[in-house]
Amino acid sequence: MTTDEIPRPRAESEERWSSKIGVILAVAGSAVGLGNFLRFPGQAVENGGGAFMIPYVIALVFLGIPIGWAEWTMARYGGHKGFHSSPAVLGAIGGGRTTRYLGVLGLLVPLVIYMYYVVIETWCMRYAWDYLTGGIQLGDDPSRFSEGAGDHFAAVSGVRGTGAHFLERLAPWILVTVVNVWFVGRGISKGIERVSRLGMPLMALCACIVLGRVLTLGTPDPNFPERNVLGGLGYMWNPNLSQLADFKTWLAAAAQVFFSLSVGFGVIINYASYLRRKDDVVLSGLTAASTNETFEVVFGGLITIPAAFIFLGASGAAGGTFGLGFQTLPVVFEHMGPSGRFFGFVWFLMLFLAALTSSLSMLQPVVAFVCEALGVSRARAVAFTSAPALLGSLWVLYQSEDLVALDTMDFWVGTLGIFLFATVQIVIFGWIFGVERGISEAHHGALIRIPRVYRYIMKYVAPTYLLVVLVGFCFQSLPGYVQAIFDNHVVAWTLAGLALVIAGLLLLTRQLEVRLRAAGLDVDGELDEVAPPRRTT
Amino acid sequence: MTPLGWVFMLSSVSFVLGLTTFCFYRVLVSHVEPPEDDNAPGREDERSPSEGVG
Repeated sequence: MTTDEIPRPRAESEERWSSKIGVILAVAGSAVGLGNFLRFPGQAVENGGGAFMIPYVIALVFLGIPIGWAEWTMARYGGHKGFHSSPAVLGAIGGGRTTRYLGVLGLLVPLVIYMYYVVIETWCMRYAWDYLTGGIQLGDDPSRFSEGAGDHFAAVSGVRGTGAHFLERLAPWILVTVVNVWFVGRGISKGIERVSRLGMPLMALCACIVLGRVLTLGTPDPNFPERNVLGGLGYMWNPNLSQLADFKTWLAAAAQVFFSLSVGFGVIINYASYLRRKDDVVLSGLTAASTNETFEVVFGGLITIPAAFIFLGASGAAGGTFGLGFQTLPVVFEHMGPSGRFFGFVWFLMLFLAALTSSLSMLQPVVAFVCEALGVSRARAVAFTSAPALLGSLWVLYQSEDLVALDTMDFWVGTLGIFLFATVQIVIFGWIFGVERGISEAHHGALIRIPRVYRYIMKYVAPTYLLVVLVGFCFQSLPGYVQAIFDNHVVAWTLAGLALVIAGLLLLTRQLEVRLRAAGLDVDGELDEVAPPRRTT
Repeated sequence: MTPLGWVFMLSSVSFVLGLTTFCFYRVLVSHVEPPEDDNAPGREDERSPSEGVG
């Protein structure tokens, strides 16, 4: 059977990106999120400042970029056979049922992350709105700004009690949900691509505005002459080279690169499946990754920590992702005086756009899967997907005390799930599909070439690196999260809900296989369309 | 800000901005082909791996 004779399913196969830039911005938009602006600088400061960049760049080169290339390549290959869902693509790539069912991870991860990410997106929208309308007031006494910021965050997130401020938080959540469902319902090019093409440049503009302000702050408080722009940059970038001897630094850098690039997320394997066979994946994958790195290293590295240090000193520039973003920075904006309201609005608008382009990408893979598995229209698939997504998200919204439900999903799926799925993908690419065959497939239509050394990196280095990071991460964090299952009923119920989601996805994957086989499609990838590997120089 | 701090900051920012500029330049100057049916005979292997620009 030739390429032309291979049957393909209709509905989703008719979807296409309208331009190369569109798919690059959509993938970058999916990757750029709160972690770029808030998690990266926090991790860098905790793990050696500028010295953190050494393990960070190594992880980028040996882990992030090769796994990304593998995902782009496998997705385009599967897409050419008419498949757009992770189980169908990995079934065709891996040549069997096992890899197809492992592909369920590529649906579980985006679906579950969507459940809590849309809640965080709602916070960003609320903060942007509050800055625009003057709804955020931290009081007149600078010594009590932190307290005011904490109270505001508690009102927006409900962190101080289960269901706290629930109705007040429900309305913006509904609005954000409607926006997400509407854009995903419009499809790949008219919905997701248009949002990314508009959102990404707007996000960059917002970041430039805030960066420009931070770098011109000077020394705002003469009582603390050391708290100035250079002091802030130094706090972030002065290297502590002794940290490089600590395994935790390497672990943190690898994890940061990994989560930031959204590899193993289940998004690229869907997005790139809408490319044409002759479309480039190598340069596109590298461009999407480098765009993400620009937002992370340039904007994340020069804005957040220096701004906090300039106004609050070293003690104020510490804190986790949420603490830094939603409690520390509002205090910084309050210290800026009247202009702080404008910069606060711009900052949270940027975070909202970053979250929106990410959350859209999380629904899309599952919508494509439902289309394929049930043979329904996109509108019905969006409705079908939205039901569990909204129920899960409502659970996170209501179980707000100490953000336990959110944290549980983030660890078990948003962290471990991503690691597992990336491991599955790079092993399938390097060892089952074959690294020579995979790189040959990647070079089809490529605008740049993958260096030869990546044959070894993709086959040996990346899987080993990933397994070491996975084991190290589990060793560091798993015991506490396992204990929490027995100690906290919210954790147990959240995991029970996740088990139901997994069961539903497995059943649908069974239906997918039956349907695709009945349609006579190349479900197990037995009809090789890839030219045999050529010797390249 | 120590001299080493400057080195790490400037080299990191330059590396990332340089890579991004290079990538977008290559994407934007790449030949834009009109949309065609990629299943059309003779289109599949039009660009072989060895034709990749490197």
